[in-house]
Amino acid sequence: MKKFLNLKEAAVIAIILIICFLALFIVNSGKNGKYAVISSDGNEILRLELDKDRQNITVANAENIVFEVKDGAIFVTETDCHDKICLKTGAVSKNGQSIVCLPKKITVKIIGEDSEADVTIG
Amino acid sequence: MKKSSDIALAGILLALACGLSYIESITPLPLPVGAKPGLASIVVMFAAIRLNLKSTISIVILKSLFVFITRGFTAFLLSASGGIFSLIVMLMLFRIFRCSVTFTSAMGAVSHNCAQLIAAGLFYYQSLSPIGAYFPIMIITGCVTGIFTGSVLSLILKYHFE
Repeated sequence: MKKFLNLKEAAVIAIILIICFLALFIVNSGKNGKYAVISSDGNEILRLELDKDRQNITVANAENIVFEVKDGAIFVTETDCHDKICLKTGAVSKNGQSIVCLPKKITVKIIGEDSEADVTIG
Repeated sequence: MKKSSDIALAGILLALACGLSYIESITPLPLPVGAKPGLASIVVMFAAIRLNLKSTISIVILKSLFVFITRGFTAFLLSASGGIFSLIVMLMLFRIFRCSVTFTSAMGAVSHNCAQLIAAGLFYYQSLSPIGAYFPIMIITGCVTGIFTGSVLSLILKYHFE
């Protein structure tokens, strides 16, 4: 506890930060997703097209979470849970991004076109 | 040893940890994904340095129980998983590897956030895929808040032991 932060330790923190910023950059520079899949407890309950704006979307078992789709992104506009993490996550639009709400076991995941390939035949 | 004064100090630190974590939970801060500065970790680190192992673990567990009473089960799960795992990491770094307070605190905050994410993913979704995208941002906020709390602690220690 003599020194505030030595060089080796600062280097470890710097490396961790660089890796994380790279990971963030890779996620954020991904392709825009096509669908937002809302799941409850791991089961898909609603699939929304991101290019169609919609307001006041609610799903069963979690009526107090209100979603909105706008400009190709989905976000939570209202919630009554304590930490409001889903609200603070903000808008998501890229492949692989997600919004989670722990107390109600709701997840929103953005998926792209390619994962749809098997159902768009014909 | 000054046994009774250590017991009194443990009680004061527990009260301080509970108070700080409660103030944090009701104060909205402009940090991403509901991240908190983790002021209570200053107290836990101080306890880890000043008191014995048993008292430190008791403070962490009792603080989680306080969170359970005031904020419910989800908050308790996150607090307990993060608190216990980060305590293990911090004790290892500080006692065995003799790292600085600031570094220990930063790694403690990072491990706290990671343990919370993993616990939440496993408990609520039985998989890590819904929460995977949160890891980078939680590790970054962990580094920043950990360096902050660690700096505060090293200032406190400077005046406490000199």
